[in-house]
Amino acid sequence: MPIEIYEIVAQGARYWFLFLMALIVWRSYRWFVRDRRQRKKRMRLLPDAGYIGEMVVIDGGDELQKGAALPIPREGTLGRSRMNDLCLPLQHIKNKHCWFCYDREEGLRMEPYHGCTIAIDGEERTGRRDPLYMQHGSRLTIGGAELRLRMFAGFETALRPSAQPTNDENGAPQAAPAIMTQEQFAQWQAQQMQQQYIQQMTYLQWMAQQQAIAAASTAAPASTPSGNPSPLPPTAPESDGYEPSDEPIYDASSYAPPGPSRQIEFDHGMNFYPPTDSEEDPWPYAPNPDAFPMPEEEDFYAQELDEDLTDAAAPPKSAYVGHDESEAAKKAFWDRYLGGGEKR
Amino acid sequence: MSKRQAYEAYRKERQDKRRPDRRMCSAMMLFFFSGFLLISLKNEIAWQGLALSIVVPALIYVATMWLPRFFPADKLLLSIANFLCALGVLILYSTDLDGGTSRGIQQAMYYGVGILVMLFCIMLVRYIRRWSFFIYVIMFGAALLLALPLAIGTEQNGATNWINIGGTSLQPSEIVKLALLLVLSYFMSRNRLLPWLLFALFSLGVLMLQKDLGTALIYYFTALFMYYAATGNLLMTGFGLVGAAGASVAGYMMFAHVKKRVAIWRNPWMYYETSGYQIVQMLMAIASGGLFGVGLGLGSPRVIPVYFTDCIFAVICEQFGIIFGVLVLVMYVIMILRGTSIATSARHSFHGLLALGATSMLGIQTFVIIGGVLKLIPLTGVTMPFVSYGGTSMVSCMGLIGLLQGVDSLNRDDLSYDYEISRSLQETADLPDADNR
Repeated sequence: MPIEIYEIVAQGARYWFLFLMALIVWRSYRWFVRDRRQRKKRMRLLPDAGYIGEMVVIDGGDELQKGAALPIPREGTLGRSRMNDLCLPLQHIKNKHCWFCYDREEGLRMEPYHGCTIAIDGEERTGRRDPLYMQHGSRLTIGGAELRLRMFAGFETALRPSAQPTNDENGAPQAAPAIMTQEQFAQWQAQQMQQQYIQQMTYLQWMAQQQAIAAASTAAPASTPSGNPSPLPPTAPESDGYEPSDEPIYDASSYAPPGPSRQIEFDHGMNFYPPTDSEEDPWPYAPNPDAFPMPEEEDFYAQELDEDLTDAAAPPKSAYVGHDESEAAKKAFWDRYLGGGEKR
Repeated sequence: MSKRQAYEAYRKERQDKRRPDRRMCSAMMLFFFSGFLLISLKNEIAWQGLALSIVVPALIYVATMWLPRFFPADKLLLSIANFLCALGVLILYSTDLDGGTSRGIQQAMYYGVGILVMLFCIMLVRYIRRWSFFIYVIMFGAALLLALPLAIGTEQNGATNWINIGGTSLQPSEIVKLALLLVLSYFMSRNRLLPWLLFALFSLGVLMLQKDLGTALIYYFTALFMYYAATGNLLMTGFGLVGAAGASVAGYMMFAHVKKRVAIWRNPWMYYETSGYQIVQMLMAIASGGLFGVGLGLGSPRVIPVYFTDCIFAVICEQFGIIFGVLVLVMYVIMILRGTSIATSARHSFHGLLALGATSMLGIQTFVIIGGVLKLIPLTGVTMPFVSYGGTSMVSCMGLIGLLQGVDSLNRDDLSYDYEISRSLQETADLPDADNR
């Protein structure tokens, strides 16, 4: 192309390039602003995002109000100064007293700074050489105040090996750990099924006895053709309810747990709720998977919010629930996603 | 399909077509297709240019739309980085035609290497959870690499910060930037002052010995910024700023070339034919471009000394205009704002500091080079991120983007986990009763 024509074309094209550049910059800016707006909307629906739990004041003296709940992020510092993530305006603690960090396996790791002292469940530490860990329900004693840790559902951690559940003084077993391995879960499941069988047999025996009592009380005593007396007692025993007999109702040795209808292969290291044995007999509380489509990762930022995610359908203000509710939620979540995935 | 499902499918289809990444990618592809096509028709038909007019838009499409499917990546950051890299390739190629050089093609190859480094950095941040061992390896390795030019380095443009390995020149200080960020983030997040302070002081000392004052400036202010973000200690940060000013005065007194640079900056016209020639030519190039530029492939960029590294912004302003130059700066600003947003959303202080450090490093480098070109501050020898010619510079800039995207991917994982927890609780409340199933 001759240079003269090229100059004319190039000088005309500079406006085209400027237009495209302005368009690109404008779209970048709109994209950035849109993502920010989307994120703000989602964060409003997740007021506890980034927090793992709360520190509830059990005894705060004059400085802290009893019952106050202080949210805890995944990592931060604790101290008297307002710059801390967890600010405790207590006289006997330092501006920066302690550093904490959530550990998925151990719990909330607490490292007091040099010369600072904290106590967790009665165990005291000074300095950052030897950290302490807090789990759900642990008590923190600091500067004369006492706080208790409440972890949100989904952030429960396994107990440390030194704190595995053992029988107490009376020999009664303590609560099972919140998180189990596959073998432990299989044992727990077998125990649960055995207990359910025992309960069912006991109930059936009691029903049979109640029916027998009712039949004996309504039917007139009659003799058999052979003249033998009726096998039923002449009068019904006076009882208001079930009276356990001295003899065992069931024979525990005869119990044999049913084998699985199909072998289930676990692909993940930490499965808590394996899928049901039979696909024709799903978990009775599992919702229709098509009713709640899971948003794709790329749609998480790009698309507008679903109208169903209104304030009325939004989750409660705090994601904290009790242990039973969290267990039920985890079961439903597992079955809803066909076996779930690796827990974080 | 129920009515609701049909409506949802229709809405999704409409939104797919208007997705911001698709619209931006299409604009970028059109820009570079028309740019390379135009430049290839300048003299005789340049088949290389025609090939680049197809290859570069295709690379942009692959890097922006396909890559995030396999690796977690922030598409906006990726798009902006891709655009700036491709802009550098276009500008360098447009100057190659008259000079017979091949910097544009080489820059395109460096861009490919940069993509790989970016992916590596994403995986590094995403999958390494325990840094306690690696950080010491990185620290000592970086210190060794940084000190290498003092032993076997070659001098370029007054600074002894290059080494030759197998015929390839390498600038270790660019690579050590990534190590510096990791080391500072790790030890600052654990509130351990001594290790990072020693490493930073060692790096600064070595750079001063190599006379690479521009990189030393970037290192210092990045460390100061990260220190303030980690501790919030305004007093010490103020001391740091005062210290920087004092060091600048001391450098001015001690080093002759610093005095010369300051004198040129104050009045380049006095040294027009000698040491001020570069700055004068840059200012004249920007002025001759005007608001809309002289046109792609026109002008006299080769008159500017070292136009392909330090002064590439002046070439952009000459060919595309000052308005275009301002829009390029706006792109950098959007990138920095996005990086800051990623840093503030991080759940761990290590990741937050890493993202903030990467963002501040990009921002400081951009300010230093643009300020030097526009004569706001004395010109230093740093490169313009993503645009300037240079393999090591491209690799380090893409590495910074990779660190940012690694942190962003972790942020999104955390947020989606919070979302799943709240949704499972919500669905529990909506589940039917056992009797109604």
